[in-house]
Amino acid sequence: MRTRLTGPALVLSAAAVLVLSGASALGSLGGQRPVTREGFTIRGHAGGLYPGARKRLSLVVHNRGAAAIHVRSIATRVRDARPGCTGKNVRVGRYLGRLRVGPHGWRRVSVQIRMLRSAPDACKKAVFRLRFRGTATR
Amino acid sequence: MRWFALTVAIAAAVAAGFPGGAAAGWRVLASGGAQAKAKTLGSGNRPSGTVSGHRVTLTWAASSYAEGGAPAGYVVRRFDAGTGVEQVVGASCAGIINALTCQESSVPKGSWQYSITPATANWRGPQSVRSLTIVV
Repeated sequence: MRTRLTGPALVLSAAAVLVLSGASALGSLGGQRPVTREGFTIRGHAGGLYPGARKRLSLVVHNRGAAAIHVRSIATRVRDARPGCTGKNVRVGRYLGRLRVGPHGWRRVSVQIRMLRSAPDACKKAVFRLRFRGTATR
Repeated sequence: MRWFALTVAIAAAVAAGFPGGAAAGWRVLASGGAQAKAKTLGSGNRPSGTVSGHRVTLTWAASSYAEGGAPAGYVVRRFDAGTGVEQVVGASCAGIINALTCQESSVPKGSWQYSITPATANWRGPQSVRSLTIVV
């Protein structure tokens, strides 16, 4: 049996090729990729902060999925510790890279954390809560 | 058959547009939490002093953070032993002293007591017990 693509079907097919290829190309540029939440988790802990201190904040990235991921960025938000000691007294560096984490695996990565020299006396013995946000690609 | 051909063409277009497979374009988000703790500055240690004319030499033991490590320096204070009123210390003992000793010159006649407060930038630890009375 011979199959011929003629007339409207040919036009529709060509249009479909152009539209889908174009959309896919735009998506691969990173602008509008589909998003899945909570694909991996980030945990960490830092101690020993004092005015002017620079420490390494060790983070553990855990891939909860069955496919490998590449962690591209990790940003940290520092919450206020108490009245008179805001989160702005602590700065945490941003991770930018391409860290491969295997299926259900984990990797360690570190960023810099520092307390400003101008941190007020109210920041003694303070506990700052950190919130992480990360992005990765599959 | 036309519809079959059209379906094949669309499938080919999809395959061409995702060369790495459908999952390659996915962006994955994560979140998490943690804590960052600041140190606790320990108390100052009671100073002792010697007198030579109008010059008082103070010494004291080092303080530390509860978690380990030493503070950047110490603040020296002088008080009238009779009234307890704080005095202005001489320039050589003023500010944050990055040592375990300091020598105050031109101390007026009288009876004085000193205290030591650990300091790092704006942080201040608990003040020490005051020294024994020093008579100039």
